[in-house]
Amino acid sequence: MNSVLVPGTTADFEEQLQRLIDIGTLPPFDPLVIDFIDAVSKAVLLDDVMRHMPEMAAVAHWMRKGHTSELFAAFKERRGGRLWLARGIAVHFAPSNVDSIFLYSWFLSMLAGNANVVRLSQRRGEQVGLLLEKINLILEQERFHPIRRRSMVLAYDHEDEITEQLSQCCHVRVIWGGDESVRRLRAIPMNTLGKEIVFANRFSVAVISAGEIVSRPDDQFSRLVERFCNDSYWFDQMACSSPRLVVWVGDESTCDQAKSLFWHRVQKEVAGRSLQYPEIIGVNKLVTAYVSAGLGLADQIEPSPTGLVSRIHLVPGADPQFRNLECGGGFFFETEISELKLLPPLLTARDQTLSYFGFRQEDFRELSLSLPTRAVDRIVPIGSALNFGVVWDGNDLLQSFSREIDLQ
Amino acid sequence: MMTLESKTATSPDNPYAEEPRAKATRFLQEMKDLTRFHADRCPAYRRILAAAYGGRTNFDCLSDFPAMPVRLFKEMDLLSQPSELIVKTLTSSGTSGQRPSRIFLDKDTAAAQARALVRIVRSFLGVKRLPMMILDHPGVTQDRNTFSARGAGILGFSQFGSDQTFALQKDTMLPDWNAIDAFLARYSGEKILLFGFTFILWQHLLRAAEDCKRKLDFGDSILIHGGGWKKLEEQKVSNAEFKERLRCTLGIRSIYNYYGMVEQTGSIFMGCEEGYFHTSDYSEVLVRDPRTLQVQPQGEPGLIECMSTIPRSYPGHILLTEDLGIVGGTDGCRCGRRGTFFQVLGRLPSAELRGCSDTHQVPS
Repeated sequence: MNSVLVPGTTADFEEQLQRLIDIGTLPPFDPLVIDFIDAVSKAVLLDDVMRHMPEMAAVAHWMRKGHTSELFAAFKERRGGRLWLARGIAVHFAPSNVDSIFLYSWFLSMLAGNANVVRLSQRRGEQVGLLLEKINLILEQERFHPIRRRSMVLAYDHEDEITEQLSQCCHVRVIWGGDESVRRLRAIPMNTLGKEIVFANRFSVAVISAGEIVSRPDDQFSRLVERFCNDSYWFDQMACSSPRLVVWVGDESTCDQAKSLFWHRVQKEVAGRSLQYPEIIGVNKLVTAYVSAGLGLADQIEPSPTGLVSRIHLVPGADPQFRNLECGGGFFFETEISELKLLPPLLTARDQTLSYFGFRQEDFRELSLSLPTRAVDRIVPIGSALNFGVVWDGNDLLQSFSREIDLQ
Repeated sequence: MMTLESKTATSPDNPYAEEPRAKATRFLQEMKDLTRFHADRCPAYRRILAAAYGGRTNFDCLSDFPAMPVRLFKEMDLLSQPSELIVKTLTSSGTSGQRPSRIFLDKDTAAAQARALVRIVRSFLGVKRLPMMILDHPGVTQDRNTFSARGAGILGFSQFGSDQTFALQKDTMLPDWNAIDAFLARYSGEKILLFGFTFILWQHLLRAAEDCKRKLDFGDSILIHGGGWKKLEEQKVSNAEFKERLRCTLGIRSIYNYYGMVEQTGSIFMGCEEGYFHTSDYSEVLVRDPRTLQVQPQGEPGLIECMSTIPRSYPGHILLTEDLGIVGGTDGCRCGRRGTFFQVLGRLPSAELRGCSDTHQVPS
């Protein structure tokens, strides 16, 4: 089954796609695009349901004219005197878990000037439907018709012909959704002029200074716990940038003290969030915890494998394959090191976000030079792990969505 | 290392007769021994107990013993005997996309399973072997080294019958009407045994007969079936309706359901005339709250935990299933059998948290 969700017209898919191909691109950061994205932001903020969803509120904030203008300023600065134009037709394969990703991917590409086709998962959340309705309403305004003609959002089952057709006509193919999707879609040939941007399975780590935890005044500590829980629980710990490993830095007794303080507060914080997963999630966590121990990767499971906070302590020198044991829902691997400079050997190419507390930005500048090959794409304070940035998985997306004309 | 001997068999013919306090004491001791036994011999099990229970193996109360989630046997191989002593590997059917469970049996465990099954089933069937019709096709039992749960069940139950005849044709799974008619003619007026898996029996015999409007009369027969209600539940078929249609179309009047799993073959839970499954000398059952894992009060639904005195070659003596059930009571069932009696309500609904890594999953 194939359905065109945007634009909300009755014209058929083939006809719309052809029109989108024929019409071509817009200049980078066209004021019309900035206005359109701002209009979507306002629609979200005016909606009683959507504005209360943390994920949607974050997107709305990102879409404000104030923010996209900042993006433009940064873009101009990076571009300097060079000539950057849109690449052409971009096709985005969105992930099914984080419903806002497709918007970031689509709108960044739109800002770069591309015409866009977005393929959504059939498993998308309810708010996506709501949001698409708003977008369709806005696109009906005559002044936004140039955008409407350059935009398509689709949903279809595993129909390789459609994927093939889209891949043949696109100049950028963006694949979200991890290893499985990347492998599947890479098997489908694309336009020889096309560029591909892919987002594989990733793993994320939080690093915390135990000494800082122990010495912080209560209000700062509360804020940290709250931020850590946002990073971890907003997407049920299934976002690739949510921490799954917590590394404590300090001597043994300070680490013990810090862990006990910290997790006690995390328990309380999570309990206060009226979070409840289906019962089977607890069983999944129990299985994953026992597999970790059974395989010799973990030596301690506490306080409860089925509860909302499960801590799985890694054995010293644990095989990095523990990263494959993922079940989300508050399942944290844990380990300790005596000083920050011992962190890099624990990291692998799969690690994306390193979120930190109790360290300074400067501490990581030098550390980054000793990171293992390909490891770590983001180093951000705890609380910012989920903030989407134009630079993602090591790519400047705006730049990736653009091409440069060599003008001499 | 210790060796274990089963202290079972208080009443040679009846595995449902042990005095409750005596059973509680004996069973607790058997669980203590088995937990120690597996902790000594299975490194993975030992590591799990070390991580989750501080290495403790001795508990004073059945509900305090560590239970292994059944799915663990899908995720990793767990053995308590050197692999050269393994004579048989059982595999579960496994729901789509999942790895099947792999259960490793040595000679002693396989023999203990067979002995338990004999005592349990004979208490229902008597000792005489009955002419037996297997409501399945002959292909399921062909590979004798690795058995599917279905194949193992059929082979296990075949010992209670004679002239075992398959009711379905190999490959096509269509009813073999000629074989069925000939079998019924051969044993006209005699008591016969029917055995099959609930869903196979439903889909490939009952529905098939209904579809071609055939009516059979299995006469003085006794049917034993098991293997899960899940697919029938999805089709909104109740146990009562199932029984009624079996009676109406196939003329089967005496029907026994059993609850069991490949991870604890042998010590199955037979369903009684009152509609309850029963623990036997070989087994015990608890029901736990799925979120806290606390034992539920009697009458409250929860996850079923099954205990068996049989497993020696893999640490599967205490298993937390993903089935929901309710304990009806202990020793008070109107059928007259002692032991804990319980009902199975179905599978805990499956769900996964959505990850960044699943753009292309087909909605189920």
